[in-house]
Amino acid sequence: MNPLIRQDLIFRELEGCFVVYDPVCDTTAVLNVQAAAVLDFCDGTFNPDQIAAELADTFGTTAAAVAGQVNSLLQDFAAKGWLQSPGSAPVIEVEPIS
Amino acid sequence: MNVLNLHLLEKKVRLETDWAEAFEAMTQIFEASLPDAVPAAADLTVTVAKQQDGRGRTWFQTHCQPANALQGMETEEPLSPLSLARNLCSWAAQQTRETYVYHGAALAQDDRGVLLLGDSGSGKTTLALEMARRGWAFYSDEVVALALENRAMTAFPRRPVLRRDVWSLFDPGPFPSLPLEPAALPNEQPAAPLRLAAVGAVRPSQVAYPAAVVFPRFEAGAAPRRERLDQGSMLLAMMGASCSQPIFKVRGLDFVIDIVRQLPGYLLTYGRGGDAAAEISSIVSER
Repeated sequence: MNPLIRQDLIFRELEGCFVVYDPVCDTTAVLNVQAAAVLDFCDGTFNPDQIAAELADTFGTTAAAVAGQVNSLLQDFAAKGWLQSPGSAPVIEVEPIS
Repeated sequence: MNVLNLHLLEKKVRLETDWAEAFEAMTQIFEASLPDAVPAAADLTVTVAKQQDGRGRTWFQTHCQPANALQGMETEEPLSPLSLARNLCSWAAQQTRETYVYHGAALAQDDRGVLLLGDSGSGKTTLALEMARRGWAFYSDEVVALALENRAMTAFPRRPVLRRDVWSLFDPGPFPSLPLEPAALPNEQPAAPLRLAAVGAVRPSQVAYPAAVVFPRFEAGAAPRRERLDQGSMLLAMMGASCSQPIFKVRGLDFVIDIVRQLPGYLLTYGRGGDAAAEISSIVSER
């Protein structure tokens, strides 16, 4: 299932980070640039594999290197209630990085 | 039922509560507030009712008159009397002025202020008193109200309460500029907190604006050291000290973000109040 971010979340940009405000829970979170990039791809058109591939392309690394972090972040986003889809992101098997 | 007319900013507050501790805490905070600023305004009645639900949980519901002045302030148990008083201060400040309220201390030299934010026990009161005796205007050591329009600081003077073990952290010597109550210091039970006389006399016409935000962290024996916070860390720390965010929502977030973008934030570790006060003076003078 392609992750889709809730439309009512509020986003603000600060130096080197992004602020996500959840008006329902009245909670604030700060994301670094990489995490914010993952969130940016949660528009319902990308699955976790595709998000990892896009990020790898953006940050000059391999999809395998970022897939684990992408999966972990998506689970965090789901746990925070930021995703419209209640389904959790599929687990991506990643080779350990030596 | 306790009843007391309290002067709060432009309003005259009539507090009714059957909860003696909350009443006492509220009284402590407001007893030194600004009588000169009180016109013959409409009374505002605050009622705190102790409730118990079907599962035996105790909570406190606050109502204010005139009706609809407060859309219900339901607080979860346990809530300390001081926390309830703080909530009431926060609410009342926002009703009487367009203010955003923090749990923290505020002081100023001329029109340049500093906010000291942090958890209880981080040393806000200690630092605030140390700075006050060095000539800073004492706005508050508990509730900091900033005008949403221009960030002007509003004074909430009260009688500070210090833990007895904290007293030894002050540099030796008298407090010539503070009307302390010497009789409260010796010959009391060691565990009893020290209740000091009202500090400072910031008048309503005295306007100051924060030039920096400092998050003090007491560490026994530590030399003072400051660490500039990045904007993300500063934002989260300020949101953690916010009393107003649940009310102002997105508007409040943008208010805090504006502060974070324009003012520097520092984590200040210190072991002696005098050292920290000097460091804060340096921070503000750099602005």
